[in-house]
Order: sequence, then structure tokens, then C-alpha cells
Amino acid sequence: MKVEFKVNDRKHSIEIKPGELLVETLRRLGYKSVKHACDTASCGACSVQLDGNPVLSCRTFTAAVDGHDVKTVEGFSKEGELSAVQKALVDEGAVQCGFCIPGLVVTAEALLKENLNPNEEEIKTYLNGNLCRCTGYVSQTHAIMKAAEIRRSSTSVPVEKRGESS
Amino acid sequence: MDFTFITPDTEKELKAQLSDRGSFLMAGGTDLLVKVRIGKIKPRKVISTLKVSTLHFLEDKTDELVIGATITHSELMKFKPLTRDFPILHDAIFTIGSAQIRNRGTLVGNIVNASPAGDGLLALYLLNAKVEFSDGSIIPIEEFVIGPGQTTLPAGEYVRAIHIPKDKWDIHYFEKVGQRNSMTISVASVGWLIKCKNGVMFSSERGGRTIEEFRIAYGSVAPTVLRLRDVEEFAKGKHIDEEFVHSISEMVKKDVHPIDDVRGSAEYRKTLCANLVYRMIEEEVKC
Repeated sequence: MKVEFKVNDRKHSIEIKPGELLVETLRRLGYKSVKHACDTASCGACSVQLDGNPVLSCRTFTAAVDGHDVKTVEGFSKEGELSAVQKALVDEGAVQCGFCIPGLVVTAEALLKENLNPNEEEIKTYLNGNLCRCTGYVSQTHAIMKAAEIRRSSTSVPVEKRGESS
Repeated sequence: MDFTFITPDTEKELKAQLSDRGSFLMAGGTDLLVKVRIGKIKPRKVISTLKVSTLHFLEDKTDELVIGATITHSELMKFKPLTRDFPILHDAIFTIGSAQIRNRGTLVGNIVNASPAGDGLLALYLLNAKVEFSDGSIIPIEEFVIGPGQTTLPAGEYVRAIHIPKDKWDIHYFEKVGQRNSMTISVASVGWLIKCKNGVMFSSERGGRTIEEFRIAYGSVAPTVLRLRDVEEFAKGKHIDEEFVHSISEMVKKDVHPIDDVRGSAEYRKTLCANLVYRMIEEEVKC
């Protein structure tokens, strides 16, 4: 069967098998940041954004994304320049082997879209489906808080801090 | 995997597609896809419900909340009336999978999957929810699920919506015990709803307040989610104190009949279930 969908704003029209997984199609299209890892919906390394919401591409049929928008980590850096989240992850030493990072970035980006001032608990809860087996989660959590701070200060619209006057 | 993937736009088309044998309905696919991939289900046809606009609705009526078939867990959690009127359902859904799974999975999918470990299912049992079929009939959730993966859904029909009657509860509690905080299937789960005569009181107070109505359910300890009706009856008119909790703990031990599996032994689960009710004493509010 044939499906049409966008990946990082680029339109793709591709012939697929009905049982094909989104992770398989994305990798076939060259989006190798999307990792086909545990294949049991446990690790989150295959996370991508579907219409802006993080989903597991190893638990999504490509057939079901016909007409939808997919975003992978490649879509967050612009012309080789890292996004605030990516840069903060590097600066905080939150990347070791790097395998979990693409999935982590797309999930963290979705969190920051919903909540630009998350506390530690909110970050841990939102990202509890993204496993990391190298650096642990302390540096990742700090990195996301830092990225949020950078993004808050760069947005022209003032962000209301809960319970505090800014 | 040799099947066709169909995406109908209307309920009429959907129903027409369903009449063929070997057809499976899919919303987010978080359960079905797993079964297809491991070969447990070999569909001839997978019908996606996601483009049927009349199934994507949330209705906050005066006496009930109606949840359409394609409403995801995430959409439900962002719906304000849910947190206000059904905090126990909110708490239960919050433990499902991870953000990624909640963005795809639906509450209707959770009940049709009919797992004894269904987290949303447990809250719906406590809330006396009802299931609406495509033929218009509405039945209590406890008559809908009859065993692991088994429901009374007639062939050729589908679940349109879930109806949850509104009711005021003074105390609500949900806890899922798993091997990990996210992406886990429960070893055992418990939930209770309590109405107190003359309102709640805090632990430090003493007073004449007693339990007016009590509902308690366990997950992962029987072929279906289990409401413990003997405990519910026993609780009426009692205070929540150590003696009471000790008594119901003994009853719980007799009521649950878990099995040994990869997530835990039957013996461990029995003890766990009996111990979980002691949370009632630890909680700040009582009656």
C-alpha cells in the first residue's frame, strides 16, 4: 500500500507493507537517528513526534500515519546548529554512548512545548519512558532544566513562574 | 504479515468492514500491534478507527462523563472535568505506560483489551462505568469483561463509548505495584473510593464519623479486575482505624486468587494485596 506523510516538514510518498512499523520506514528513508532497539515498548529510543506528540515508532504502524506529520531529532537542529535542548545535553555531559539521546530529545522537546518551566519531578515523570544506561538521569534532568531556562529567556512573551513573581 | 489496512471515515463504513471474519479494530494500536508482531493474532484486515470523527468526543454531562472510542489517555488527562470529578481515573491513567504510550493508547482500547491488569479498567470498575456498543445497548463494565482478553462484545459490533456516572467521594486512592515506575504491567494494583458520613476528618481528630459507602477493587489478582463486595459491605458504618484495616486485610487475603507468573508469585501477590490496605491508615484523611 502507498502512504504519504511528512518527516521534518519534508513530504514522503512511499510504498509500504501493511504491517510495517514506523521505525522501519523511517530508517528506510534514511532517518537513522530513530533507533530500533528493544522492540518491546520498553526503552523509548525509537521515540518520534507524531503531530507534535511523542510516540513510540516501534509501536506505530506506518499505515496509521498516512497524512500526518512526523518529527525526528534531525528536525530540531537547524543547518547543523544544535537546538537548546541538544546543546544543554552536551554541556551537562548528559551524553555518553548517545543511543538514547535522539528519543530523549524529541520527548524533552514535547515537554517544553507543554511546560516551559518544568521542575525536576515533572521532567522525571514525563521522561520515564526513555531509558538511559550510561550517564543516568541527573545530568539529563539538569540539561532539560537548563534548556528550559534558555528558552524562557529567549522567548519574547514573558513566562509566568508558578508561585513566584519574575 | 499479510493483511489489509483500512481507514474508514464514518461509523457506517466501519461497521460494514467489521462484518468480515479476521477483522480487527485498532485505535492507537499499543496492544494490537504487539499481538500482531509476536504472531498471537493473525489479522486478515486491520481497521483503524482514528479517522472516524464521530468516535472522537468527550461529553461532560450533568450526571455523567461520556468518553468516545478514540480519545487517548493524554487527551483525557488534559480534560479538566476528569481531574475534577474522577480523580481516581486520572491517577490510574497516569500510571499507564509512558507519555509516548498515553499519546497513542485509548481508554476504550484498555477495556476492549480486557486485561486483568488494565489500570484504567480498575478505576472504571470502581466508578460503576458502563460500556456503549455500536448497536446502542449499554451494559455495566463488570458484565462486559468476562476473562483475560474476553468480552461480551457481540460479533460485528464495536465499543462506541464509555459512560461514567458522576458521584461525590470523600477519599480516593489508587496504587499500582510494578517492577518499574513506567512501561510496566502491574504485579498487583488496588483502588478504593470512600464516602464518609458527615464528611472527612484528619488523622489527629477523633469523632463520630463513619464509612457510609466503600468500594474497593484489585487488579492482576484474578482473571478479571475484582471488586471485593464482602469487604464493601463489611465496611459500612465502621471507622477507618487499625482494627478495621486489620479485619479487611484478612478478608482481602481470602478474596484474591492470583497466579504465579513472570511478574511475581501468587503467594507474594496475596501478601501484597493484604498489606496494601494499610495505606488507609497512612493516609491523612479518614472517616
